[in-house]
Amino acid sequence: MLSSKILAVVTFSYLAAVIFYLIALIFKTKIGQRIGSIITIGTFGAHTAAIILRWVESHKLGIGHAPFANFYESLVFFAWAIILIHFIAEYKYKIAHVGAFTVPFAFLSLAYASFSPGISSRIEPLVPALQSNWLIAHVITCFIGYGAFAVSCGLSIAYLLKRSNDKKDLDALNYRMIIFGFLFLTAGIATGSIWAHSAWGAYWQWDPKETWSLITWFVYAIILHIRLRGWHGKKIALLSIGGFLSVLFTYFGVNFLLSGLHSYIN
Amino acid sequence: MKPENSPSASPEKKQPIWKSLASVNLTIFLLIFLAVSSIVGTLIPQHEAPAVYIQNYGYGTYQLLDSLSLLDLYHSGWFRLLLLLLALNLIVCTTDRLRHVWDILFPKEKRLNENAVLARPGTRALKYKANPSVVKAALLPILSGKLGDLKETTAGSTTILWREKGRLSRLGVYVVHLSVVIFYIAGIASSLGGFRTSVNLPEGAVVEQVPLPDTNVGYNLGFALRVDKFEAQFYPTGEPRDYRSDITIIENGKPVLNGNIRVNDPLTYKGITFYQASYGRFPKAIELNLVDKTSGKTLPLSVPFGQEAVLPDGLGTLRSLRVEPNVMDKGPAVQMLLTSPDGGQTDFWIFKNDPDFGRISKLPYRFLVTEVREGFYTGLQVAKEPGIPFVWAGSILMVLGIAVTFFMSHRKIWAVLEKKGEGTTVTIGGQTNKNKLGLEERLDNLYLQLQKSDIK
Repeated sequence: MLSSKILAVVTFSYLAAVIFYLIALIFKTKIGQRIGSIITIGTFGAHTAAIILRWVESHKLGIGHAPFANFYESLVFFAWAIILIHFIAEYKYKIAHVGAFTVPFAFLSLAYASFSPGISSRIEPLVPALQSNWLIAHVITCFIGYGAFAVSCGLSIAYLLKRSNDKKDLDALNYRMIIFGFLFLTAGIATGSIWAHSAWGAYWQWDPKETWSLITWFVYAIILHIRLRGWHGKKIALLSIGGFLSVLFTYFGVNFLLSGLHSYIN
Repeated sequence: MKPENSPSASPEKKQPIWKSLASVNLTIFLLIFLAVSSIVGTLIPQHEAPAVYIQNYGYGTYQLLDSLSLLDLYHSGWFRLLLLLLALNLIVCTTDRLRHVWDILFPKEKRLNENAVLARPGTRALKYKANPSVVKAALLPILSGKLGDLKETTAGSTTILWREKGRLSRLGVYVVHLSVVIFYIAGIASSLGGFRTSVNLPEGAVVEQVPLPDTNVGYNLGFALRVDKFEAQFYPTGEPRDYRSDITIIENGKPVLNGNIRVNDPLTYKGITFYQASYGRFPKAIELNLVDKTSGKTLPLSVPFGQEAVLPDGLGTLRSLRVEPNVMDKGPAVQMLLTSPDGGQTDFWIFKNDPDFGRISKLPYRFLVTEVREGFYTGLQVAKEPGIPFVWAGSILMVLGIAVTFFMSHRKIWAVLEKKGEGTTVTIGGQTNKNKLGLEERLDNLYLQLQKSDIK
């Protein structure tokens, strides 16, 4: 498939962007930052095109469906969501060097999708359980949420590494990213629950995926409430990294280590 | 001893128990406890058979886990107690704070107090030579913006021009808390007034009563459902494409509705919903050829599964007992029960691929299995879920509530005009419950605009 070949190139292209962002960060060069940004924008364009192309390709195969149906496609979309939210941090909030901490997540997700021998990039037909309009709403809301949490984790690492005392902007944006992710995670769980009701006949069954998404929700709810107690800065950064580990377990750990209703993802 | 149930308690003399029930510390503690317990519940497989646990963990550990209700953790008393405490915490904290917020939302005095306004930090003042009415006229276009209608309060020689936006957004967080309570109501409604069970129905079967799980009683549907046909479709790659049961609803002996049930497309009738959950094949009839051992003449015989067929020449009857895909590594075989005219019974196997193995010498025939005719059964999940409207309501309220709580703010900006001699002092300031930096930026901007303006 052409789309998966483009995505393999996109993977390396993000790596190139990361290298330039890192050069900018280490050697304090503006030009590295500029090149990193330009590569990221261009690559994101190709990334978007590849996702649309994959949709078209599935229709040409006679099994047309949104490209959110298997593990490969979810990783590709995860990377896309991370970059989308990275743009908010880089352009709306003008956080310098943020790319060095956010784009690597997108690169890793795509590298895993493209080069792990266990992951098939084939376009597969949609099994009956996934034939629903809720698929698109559920996947988009969940992965926008995951993307925001990934960016929040990146900002937290940046916060912990930065030596300067003027880190208020990073902390404020980190908090906003957690809120943004929390909103979408909530919407993702809600759409999932309503979908589960029409597909499986039960809106909540304590299946491992459901339970872990709720655990992740608890973790971020704790962060939002603990902020009311005056916690900020380093403590919030550490909690946000913990929250992202919970996201990773919800996404990967449940699939590999626990069995459940979401197992068709593999 | 139930101060938590008396919201009339005045805020001044709050009971300690009320205070702790309203505290954020309790919320954080409960959320951590819930998260950790939920993790434990995903690490220990839930409601398996005792034998499975004993084999994996040993008897002692099994007993310990069982006594702590860790084997059906999410439905255990202590987990429910945690959820109940969280609900109580939410409700008490909401009532506690709502009273204060209510005064902000619906102030008794619909004017701004100039002293309170001027005392706020971060205000910026400018002096003009013109009198207040001239300055005010010049100020109006600068103060225009997206921030609600311009209001005016006058007290003596002081005039306050102010705008306000998003007052109701202060309610957002309470909407989120309410939505959590609505989810609880959904759960309670479903567990008290709902049920979930499954039935396997062969094509042609009619069901009027479904078994309720963990009981011996059946649930009367109040109507009958007949499965007319089941169809499974596959993609050329072999993956499933569609599972569909065509059904008829029968009431008082008359068909009232024809419909179909597919995955993701259940059918609801009179509050009961039928979901396509699984399917399978079952043997319908075994087609045999009876080959006369001497003449070699062949006679076909069809034995309906689980029923009897009469053998020719008064040799008795043949009942089919089992159909197995593989017996003794010899492939598919059927088990038959022969009843002789004298009442004697013998059971024996007929191997499809090896008809002479295990043959029965009593009879003058060899048996050949020509076909095992199969039919489909459909596995339907049957559920009544009265909580679902609450799940919808809770979901919508929670998402909207979070958006309002975090992305909208209650913001005021004002300009206080004071007459000082012949001239006027203008003080601008503002107040917000969120995004203080954004407000500061806005005020700085306003200040710059005022400095640049040609007001004298």
